[in-house]
Amino acid sequence: MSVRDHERVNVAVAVSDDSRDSLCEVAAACRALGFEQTCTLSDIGVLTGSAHVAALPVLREVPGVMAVEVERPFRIQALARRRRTP
Amino acid sequence: MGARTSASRPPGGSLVLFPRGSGDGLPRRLQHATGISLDRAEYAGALESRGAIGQGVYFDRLDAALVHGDADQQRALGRFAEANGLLVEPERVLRSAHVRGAFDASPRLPLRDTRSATWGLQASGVLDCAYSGRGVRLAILDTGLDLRHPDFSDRAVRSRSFVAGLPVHDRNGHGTCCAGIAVGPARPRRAARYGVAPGAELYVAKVLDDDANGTDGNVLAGIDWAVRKGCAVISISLGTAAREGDGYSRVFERIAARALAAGSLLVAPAGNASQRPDSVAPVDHPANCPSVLGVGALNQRLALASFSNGGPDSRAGGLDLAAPGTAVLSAAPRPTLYQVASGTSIAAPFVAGVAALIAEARPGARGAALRALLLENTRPLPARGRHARARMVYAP
Repeated sequence: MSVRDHERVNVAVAVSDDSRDSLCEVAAACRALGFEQTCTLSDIGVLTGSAHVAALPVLREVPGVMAVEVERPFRIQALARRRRTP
Repeated sequence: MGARTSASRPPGGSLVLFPRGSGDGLPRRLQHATGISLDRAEYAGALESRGAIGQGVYFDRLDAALVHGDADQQRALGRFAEANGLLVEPERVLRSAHVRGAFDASPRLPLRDTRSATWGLQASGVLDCAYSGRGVRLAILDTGLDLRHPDFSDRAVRSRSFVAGLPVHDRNGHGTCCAGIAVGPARPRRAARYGVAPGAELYVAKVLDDDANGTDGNVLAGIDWAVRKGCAVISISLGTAAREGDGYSRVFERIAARALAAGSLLVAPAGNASQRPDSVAPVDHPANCPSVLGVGALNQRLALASFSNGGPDSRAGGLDLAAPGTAVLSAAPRPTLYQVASGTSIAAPFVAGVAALIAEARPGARGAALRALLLENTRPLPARGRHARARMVYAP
């Protein structure tokens, strides 16, 4: 196990369409594997939280999990802004 | 799919929605049963690049088609739809942009702001539009909004912060700018009109902090909130660079598809990393997801701005359409009140505003149907050349 495997990363877990009615069960299965859940986004079928890097492949195999992705930083898409005097 | 026919065809067609994931089978049977030929459309530029218009355009990624046929074919379509449980709506309000396929009158370029309206509103037919987005919920996911800005202080704005410890109030200016472009008032206090859909109901989710930093977690929470609130359009003016060949986010794609199914259309900027004509970067995440509408920026000559992304990416979606995104006037937090901004960030809420206009015009069209109508109603860019395939958003 590398040093990076111990690193804890924020992740988004997308639940498959046919498991959206059992979101709580999928979440519980993920938590049992070390997923620390912070949010359940039921309308879009996503769980957010954090997990060790090493746990990501295991989380991806949990029945009902469609995808697990490490959170990305976002930035705004404006280039230049200047104040305008009316 | 079918053979091409002449560009002339009767006005008024029908929008047909197939069940999700129905593949080519039902559209082929529709062709056989009605005699209406369907051409497969790749969203941006497909109609233009063909140079001839078929009787129908099949949006395979949307499982939807826009068809035109004679009276017998329309009757056959009705029977086929009933027998197969398809949703059919008349193309009754939107102008048939792909027949005209060009601007009503060639605009004098470069376009400039006037005392009454910004150049972008002039260019996109918004000033002649009978709709204002009334009754349509539109969400802006960004750095928040100056809720006491004089152009918004008398509006009913629903808002929520998804950034821990920070109120919705926008100290950055980006969110107020984007909200202004999408839904700014018809008659601002101290500026020309800059808002596309002044009648829309504004929902503001603060998902970026005041330094404009945020993560997937905040953004996903904001999308979930906006979908739950029934927002027909969700504009997210943010992104991260994508590398050619990396593909798109499966999580975001699935979410965008679910949002579409729930009646919410996600609009995102293509990104600003290009230096046209020398280099054109691929479309950013999440705009590169096929179910997210990826928007490029136009300059005042109605050409793609030099910075606007949209390069080819073999494993992700490209540019879906373009909108004004250079030197665009909008609101700024007090005490500044107004600012002029450039970027694909600016173009995305412009498209969101036009989507709200179409959503008012077609109350039954939400999600994939709204997306199809928005793409159907675009215009080719007057500038020819390398990027002639890109199309510009246009008001109904």
